[in-house]
Amino acid sequence: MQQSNGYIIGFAIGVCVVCSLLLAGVSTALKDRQEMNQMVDRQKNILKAVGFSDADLEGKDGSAVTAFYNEHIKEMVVKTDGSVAESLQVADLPSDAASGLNIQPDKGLPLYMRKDSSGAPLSYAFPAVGKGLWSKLFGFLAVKPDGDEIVGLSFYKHGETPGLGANIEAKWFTDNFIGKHLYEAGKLVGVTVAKGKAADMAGVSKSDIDRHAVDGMSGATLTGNGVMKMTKVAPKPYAAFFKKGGR
Amino acid sequence: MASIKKQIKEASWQSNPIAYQVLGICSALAVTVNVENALIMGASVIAVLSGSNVAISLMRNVIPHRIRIIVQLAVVSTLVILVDQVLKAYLFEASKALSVFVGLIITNCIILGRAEAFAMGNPPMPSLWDAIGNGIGYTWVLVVIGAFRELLGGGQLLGFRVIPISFYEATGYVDNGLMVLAPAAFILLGLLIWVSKELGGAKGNE
Repeated sequence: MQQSNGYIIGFAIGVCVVCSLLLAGVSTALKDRQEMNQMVDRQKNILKAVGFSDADLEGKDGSAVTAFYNEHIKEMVVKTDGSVAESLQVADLPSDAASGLNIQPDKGLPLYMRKDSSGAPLSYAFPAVGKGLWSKLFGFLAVKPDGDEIVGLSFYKHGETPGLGANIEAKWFTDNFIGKHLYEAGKLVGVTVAKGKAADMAGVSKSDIDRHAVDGMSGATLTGNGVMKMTKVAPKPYAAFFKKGGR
Repeated sequence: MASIKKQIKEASWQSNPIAYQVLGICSALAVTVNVENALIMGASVIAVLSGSNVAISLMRNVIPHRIRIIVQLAVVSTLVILVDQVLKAYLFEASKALSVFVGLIITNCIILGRAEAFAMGNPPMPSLWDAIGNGIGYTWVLVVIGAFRELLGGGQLLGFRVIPISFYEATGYVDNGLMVLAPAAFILLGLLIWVSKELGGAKGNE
């Protein structure tokens, strides 16, 4: 049976209209939930970066995570000269700045402070964006108030190969960064991701390895290089803030 | 009832989509690092496959022959995006773990293959059973491979530790790093096809 061209075109248009209406409807209906999931996911990652463990967050649903987040984290905006922009909120920054996707340093930098019960800073987390093998890596890097010693690192969005580069999310990998230092004699040197074990690195002194190197991931050297570069770049805009001694 | 059982068994065992038809290998390699991902992927494929087979089967007499593949693709991709959106809204962690592979269900040859080979020529109910049978066939292969890879590559099953940490320390046993890489999935898949043929699956005894 040979159909007429008109029938074929009509059928194609019909299918397209039905499919697009269906998708548009579902996407609109689920949008709020998805955005909430993303926000909670970001908050979870900030909490993890500043040193809370999975156990602290276990069994908490979306609103409980947000409450926990508000209790322990103070969101603030700092300027590249190191001063705190008291009048600005993270939400006032250009959209997506909170996640590090679209930071415009002249408009302010998002910073997340972990406070103790008296409100004094325990550590600071800031967005860290790097380039992996296939994709951009989005994460948070948390440091002590001196801006040097790493408290934690967490990734929440990337498109690296599951099982290989995606191991940057794994606890064994991110835990290695804890206690490493970003600066050496006042210079930002970041953290080196070794090929293989950090201890086997050739031509590097033991103290450098202890302070600035972590084990790599097998099969994901390029992703590791991206993370390494990220630790050298992401802290830069915040340097002035930490030099002033935080607050 | 008996014929439905026979049809499902036929689709999931004798003509298993992965072991016999050798379709959907790409995702079988990619998402089988652990059992949980394999299960969610399997469930997503069953949902998409059932939906597309029934939809195509309902439309089989009105789809213009010359653009049937495009129409099938449109239906399949709509369903895949639906699944992706639902996962993002209700199973956020899982959708993160599966990342691009949910979207890639569109290109999973099993779905287009069953739409073209079965749903275009059969009424909705048999098409549904065909979809479920093939979906089960796909899922069990994924889960078996996932179980081996998770156990040998990480000492865990479904996230629970099976090989105790003390065993590693006492005997110097080390997880097999190859198992988390794609080549291991290839090797396991080859072994699995061999074993299932020996047992009479994958049209082994014909």
